[in-house]
Amino acid sequence: MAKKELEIGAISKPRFEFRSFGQDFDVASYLMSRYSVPVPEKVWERESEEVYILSKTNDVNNTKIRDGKMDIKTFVTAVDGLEQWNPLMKGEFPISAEVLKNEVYPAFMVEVPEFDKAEYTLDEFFAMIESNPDLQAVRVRKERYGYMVNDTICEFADVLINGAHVVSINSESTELEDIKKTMKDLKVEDVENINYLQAIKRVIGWINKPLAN
Amino acid sequence: MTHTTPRYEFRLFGVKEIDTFIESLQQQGTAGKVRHISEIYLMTAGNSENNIKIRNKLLDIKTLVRQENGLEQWNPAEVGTFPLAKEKIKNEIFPALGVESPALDREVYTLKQFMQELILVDPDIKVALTEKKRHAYDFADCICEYADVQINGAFVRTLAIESENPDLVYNAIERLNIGKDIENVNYPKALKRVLGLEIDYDINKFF
Repeated sequence: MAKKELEIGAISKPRFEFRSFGQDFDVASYLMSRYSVPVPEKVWERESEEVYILSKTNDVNNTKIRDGKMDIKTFVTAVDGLEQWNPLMKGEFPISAEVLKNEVYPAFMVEVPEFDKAEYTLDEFFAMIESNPDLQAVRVRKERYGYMVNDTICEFADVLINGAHVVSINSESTELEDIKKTMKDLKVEDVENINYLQAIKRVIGWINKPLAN
Repeated sequence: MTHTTPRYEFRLFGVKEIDTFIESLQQQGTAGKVRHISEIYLMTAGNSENNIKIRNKLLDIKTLVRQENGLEQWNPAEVGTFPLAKEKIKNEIFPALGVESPALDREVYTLKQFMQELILVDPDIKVALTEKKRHAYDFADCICEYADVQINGAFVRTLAIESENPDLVYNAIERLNIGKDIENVNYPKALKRVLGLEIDYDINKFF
């Protein structure tokens, strides 16, 4: 049976992902641009400003806020070093205390605070984050350049983490073998898979490990 | 401790916008040495007056003497080279960090023991590993530099103007077209922002 082609931006079954962060992926990004088939214009270049909420107590839930909307993904499994993440919840501000209590704080895996209001604005939510020493809001600005290599969705990205610059590359697909072939083609087979949570925690000094280069 | 004369300093950090000022320094200044330096900064949320770093096993603490009309005067002082006696660690380093000293079991600590047993285990202390490529310049009778800096692997650029005479620093700032709205950001402040130890009220501009 022919495999279904991935469509950038479309919702599909959970994808596996290779991603890494460092200062120099010039070779990989050049190869990515050369091997890529043409991609829709809307993914040529994308800019976004996001806030990640980091929790000291876990590395399995990835919470970010973009355009006033909260999105939590949860780690499902890793196969051959490639990671699979599933959407856990999506919410919008103002957000209800019920959602914070039953979905968001359990994802942070920290003590659930007392809620004295029915709903919370984004500013109020940030104030709650600031008051918890196990949580931290981190500003992330992304300039992403989309490609498609070996039927995998690829990107090269310039990323500012609290204003400091790193470079990221990734390849994601429902098909493991397609990602592995892409990693080989891009000459990043031996590069460590580093997801956003790991990269941010390393930069802000929560994990004392270097980035890929 | 050894002491040198404190200089007045203006420093800024950035990624792209700073390049204009660096180009101006390159055009007008006289280039000096280029140095590659690896340093460990020790950071705490409550400390803004002490710049604590380790280079080649030498720990030094720069203390903020005064802030005056947009400039800062720092007093550099060498604490000592590792291995360091526990008295120095207890009486000089932890007070400068602004956190309580833990019980010190050893009489003397190597750098590795200091980092592993006292620093990395303390939830109130964060470590910033920096790799700097520093380009020295003479400009307008000031000691200047720009540097490419990696902070825990993430990149920023910095430009600094220093002199014992604050008027010379003001003159250099003006000649580099650095506007009065540009904030003077010292190393600890920049590191604290990247590490998230200083609350960034700018966060709301994203929404």
